[in-house]
Amino acid sequence: MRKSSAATELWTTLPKPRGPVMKHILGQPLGALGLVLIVLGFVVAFAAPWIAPYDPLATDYGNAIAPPSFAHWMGTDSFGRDLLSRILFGGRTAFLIGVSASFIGCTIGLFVGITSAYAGGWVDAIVERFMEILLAIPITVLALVLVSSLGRNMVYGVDLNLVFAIALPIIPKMARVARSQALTIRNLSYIDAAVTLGFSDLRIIVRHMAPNIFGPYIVMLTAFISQAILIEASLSYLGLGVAEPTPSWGLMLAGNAFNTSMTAPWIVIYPGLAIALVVFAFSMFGDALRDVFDPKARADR
Amino acid sequence: MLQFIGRRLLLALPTLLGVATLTFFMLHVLPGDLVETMLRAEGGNPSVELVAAERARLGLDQPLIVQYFEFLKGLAVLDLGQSHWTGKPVAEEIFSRLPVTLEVAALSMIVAIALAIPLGTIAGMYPGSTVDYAIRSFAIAGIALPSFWFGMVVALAMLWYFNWLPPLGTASLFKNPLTALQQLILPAIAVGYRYSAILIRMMRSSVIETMHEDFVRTARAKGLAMRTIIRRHVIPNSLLPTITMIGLEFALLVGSLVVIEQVFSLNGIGRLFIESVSRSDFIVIQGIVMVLTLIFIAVNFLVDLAYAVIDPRIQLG
Amino acid sequence: MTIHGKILALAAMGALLLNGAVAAAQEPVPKEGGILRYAVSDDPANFDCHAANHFAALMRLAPHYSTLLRFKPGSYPDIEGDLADSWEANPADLTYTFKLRQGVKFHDGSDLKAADIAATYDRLTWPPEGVVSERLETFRQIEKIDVVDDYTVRFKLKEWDESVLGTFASPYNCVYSAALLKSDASYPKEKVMGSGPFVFDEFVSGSVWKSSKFEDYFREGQPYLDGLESYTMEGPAVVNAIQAGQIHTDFRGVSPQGADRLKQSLGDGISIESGPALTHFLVTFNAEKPPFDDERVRRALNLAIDRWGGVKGLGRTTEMRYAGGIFLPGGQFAASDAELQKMAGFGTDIAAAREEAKRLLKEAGQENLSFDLTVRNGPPIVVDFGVFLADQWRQIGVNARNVVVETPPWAAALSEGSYQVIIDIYSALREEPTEQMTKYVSHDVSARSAGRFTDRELDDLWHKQALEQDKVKRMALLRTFESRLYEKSYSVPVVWLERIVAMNAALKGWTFNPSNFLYLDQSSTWLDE
Repeated sequence: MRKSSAATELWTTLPKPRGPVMKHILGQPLGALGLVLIVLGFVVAFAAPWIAPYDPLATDYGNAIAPPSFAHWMGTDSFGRDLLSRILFGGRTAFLIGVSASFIGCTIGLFVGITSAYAGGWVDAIVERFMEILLAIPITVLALVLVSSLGRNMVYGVDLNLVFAIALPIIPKMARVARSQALTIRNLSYIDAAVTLGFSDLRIIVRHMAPNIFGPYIVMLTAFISQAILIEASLSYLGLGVAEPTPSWGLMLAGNAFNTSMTAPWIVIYPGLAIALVVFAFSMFGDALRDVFDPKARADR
Repeated sequence: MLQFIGRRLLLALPTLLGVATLTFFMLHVLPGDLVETMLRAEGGNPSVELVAAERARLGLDQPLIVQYFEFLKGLAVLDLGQSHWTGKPVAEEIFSRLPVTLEVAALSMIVAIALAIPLGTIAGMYPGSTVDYAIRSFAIAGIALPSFWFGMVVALAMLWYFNWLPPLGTASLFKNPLTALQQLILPAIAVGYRYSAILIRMMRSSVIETMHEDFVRTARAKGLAMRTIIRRHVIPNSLLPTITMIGLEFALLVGSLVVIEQVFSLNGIGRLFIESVSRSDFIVIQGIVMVLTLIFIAVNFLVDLAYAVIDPRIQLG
Repeated sequence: MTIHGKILALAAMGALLLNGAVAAAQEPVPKEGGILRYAVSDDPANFDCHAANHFAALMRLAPHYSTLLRFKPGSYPDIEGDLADSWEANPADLTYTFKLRQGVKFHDGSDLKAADIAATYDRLTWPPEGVVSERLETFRQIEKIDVVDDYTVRFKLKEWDESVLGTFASPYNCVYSAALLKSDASYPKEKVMGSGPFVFDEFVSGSVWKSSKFEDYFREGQPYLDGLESYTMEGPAVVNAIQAGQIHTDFRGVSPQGADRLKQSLGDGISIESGPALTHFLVTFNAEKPPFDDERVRRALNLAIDRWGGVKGLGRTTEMRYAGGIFLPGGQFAASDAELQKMAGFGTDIAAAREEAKRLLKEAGQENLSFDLTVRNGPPIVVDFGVFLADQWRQIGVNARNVVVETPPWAAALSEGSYQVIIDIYSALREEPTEQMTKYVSHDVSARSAGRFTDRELDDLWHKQALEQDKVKRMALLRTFESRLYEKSYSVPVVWLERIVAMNAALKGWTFNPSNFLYLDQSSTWLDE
């Protein structure tokens, strides 16, 4: 049980970000590109209702599978819905689910990890066991089981169960990292001091320990956003994720899409590229962030 | 060594029990079971008595907790039960499909390693260079492209340009290697590329690290040829973390396989899984999760063993 | 009446001979040999025809079995004898008497006799412990089955029903061996042993089902093929495999886009047959739950669906091609378009219908109606149908949320009535009102009923038409039934699918028909290779 997670390996030392984070990231072309794409993606997805040329749900059966034109820049799908508008709104779905799943997973993981490290003893042992169980089930399989067994639970157009299903497998990974970080910090003198001063456990965890794990937290958060977006796409492709008619990139590739693609390639090309671009952006940005926060990796550059 | 093996096995037991419990109760949250699906889904019109009789026959009328202990009782003697859908033993259903999945997994791994070692090494030798950026972009593209999309596009391109498709049916890699290779190569490339992306990045950073190690500096100072240094020292030493990654990212591999089997109509465990999900054949789903978990534990165990064999400095315990 | 019955039987036999002669003159001489390869969407759960309810199971099982009667190849919907040489209907005695062919052999070499027929239908009508019969309701009219002699079997009914004859031709009613059934009533679950044109070889679950020619098949010279191989595959893979020449066809059919693609890439190498399929999509409002217990709300939602306009668009990209009521559009029992257009929900002036819908909703106090539409996550086209419906209702200001669920929770919702509005599919085996209407009668009368309602008037009409032997009067009863059903809008048909079977041009002798369940024994199919 010496090394149970790749993430633990990556975070053997305390993060000591030197200088402004942004400066370092912008110093790396790929990271900067990632950041630019992410910002662009967010803006576009947020502004979708205002910039999308059509209602993404409006069907026009007479104009189905139309090739890209001035009226429909990316063509239309088999319902005659405007592909560009669906891609834009699909971005909202991807960001919303990706970011919220990753945020929920990482945040719960963070506190589980810290608490388990801080409490130690049998609490730590039990939590560790439980995390091990979650880690042992392959992510997609776990999500599939969850999605198919929980059904759907729509709140403001977001399937909460889907978000939860994608978030759950993230928890143990984040918890592992947080725990090993917390163990290191736990042994530092200022925490001892805080304990001696009689601060409450909650205060110590929230005020003193959590902020010190901010680095790895933010890196993992970014990394898992891309993973969550991919899982959402895969689940939707399998018909277990987002439900029609909600625009989702994975869903746009499901069903008959590939059958149509020989004669209407735009139907599969644009959603595929959209997924690739966003995941690419988050991965690049995540790498750059890790380089900034992990001095060991950066020293080598 | 034996003590290490024994301890790992002992630790695996509670994990397996936990996985079994978690899956069992997660699966039984939603209403609807297989009997309804089997008798009604395609327009059948079963009587209430028939549905009740079938439920009783399959033991689905028992309280959940009784079913749970039945399941555990079976597990204790390595009996995964019988598929409610086909009536055949779950173990038989799974093991008749496992070879395909394992073969794709192995081939993907080979593709991934074949890509990762040279590319990762080159990128690590010249960090910050154009080659490095090109390789890193290639790697990230592998992570970014959904494997189902990539696989489908490659398959359609082959059909379009060469009128070629993998042969139908399921050939065994051992009895019928040529046919099997044709069936498995596209899915292996689709999954392997994605997998290689992770390994390339790991390989790259370990090469960077190793290049700064004292023994490499010494070797260079001694005037050894760069090529020899790389082959004898840098690569073997950088392989360690990369191998660890193989075990850790196994879950990711399995996830990709589930989807890719669907794309290529491969008769593997992933397709059985999806089918069982859509039929609510819970007992098969549980069986698959148990087998996958066992494989996951075994792979990580083997990785640790391999680690120790490659690097004698590491002590097991 | 007895005379009437005999004339009927004679007429049937005469038609049989005549049709045979005509068909023989037109058809080119079939070639022998070759292996037919085709796609099947799913594996059968087990090998028992009597428990099956999916055409995918029949695609595998039908070639191995014979039935008492069968649909005549080349002239759907005519029925001819399969194992039966001739038959006699006697409405006065309430009996059907079948004379069997002599010299029919099972694959194990034993002779097929009247006892086998009786054992088979006993099993279907009164299934023993541990045996599932999906045909219980169909045979509810059978009182007893007698073996008159080795080659004569007689069925006595409780009440005369014109529709029963057709059920003897159902490919689901595979004839099993009485001797084997005696030792184990559930042997057909695990063992495939019949008297059909092909002998079972092997089945690799999830992959392939193989069979080879039965040399002792009772039809002289048939089957033409040396063997069959059916592969379990679905989705885009099917069209790809047809295009690459790996399989000859998928008898279920392909999407219009798939057919276009095959036509483009293969040209003359592909032959495509299409027409309305005996499958329609319907939507059911839960009449037990407010606000759908209000007739006005249901009718408003029914009126808002633009069926004629919808299929024009939908039909370009999906199989949802025909607007129709509860009977196959253009079929023998359907209302004419003109008749249909007078019924609620089928009018041609959609703008007026929507105005009326809005008015009804307003009257019912449901102007801002919002509900869950339960959609089964089955074939992608079902989800497409959900999208279509939600879009139709959006146009009268109603918000329908698509709730896509897996098949088991969908089936549970249907049987427990725990839904608001739900989508259902009905695939019929043959055009037979009595059977097809079971979907639309009170749910305490038929287990197959889609709706949660009790309407004795509909039940009564259903019962009357089954007994009515005058064709014109029966049609009138059917129209009355339809117009009441759509007016009340408990559960309404929306679109009928198109069946597009794309076959390798070498595949010949198979009969295209609206049903997914027929002509699957491949006895007269041959390959011109």
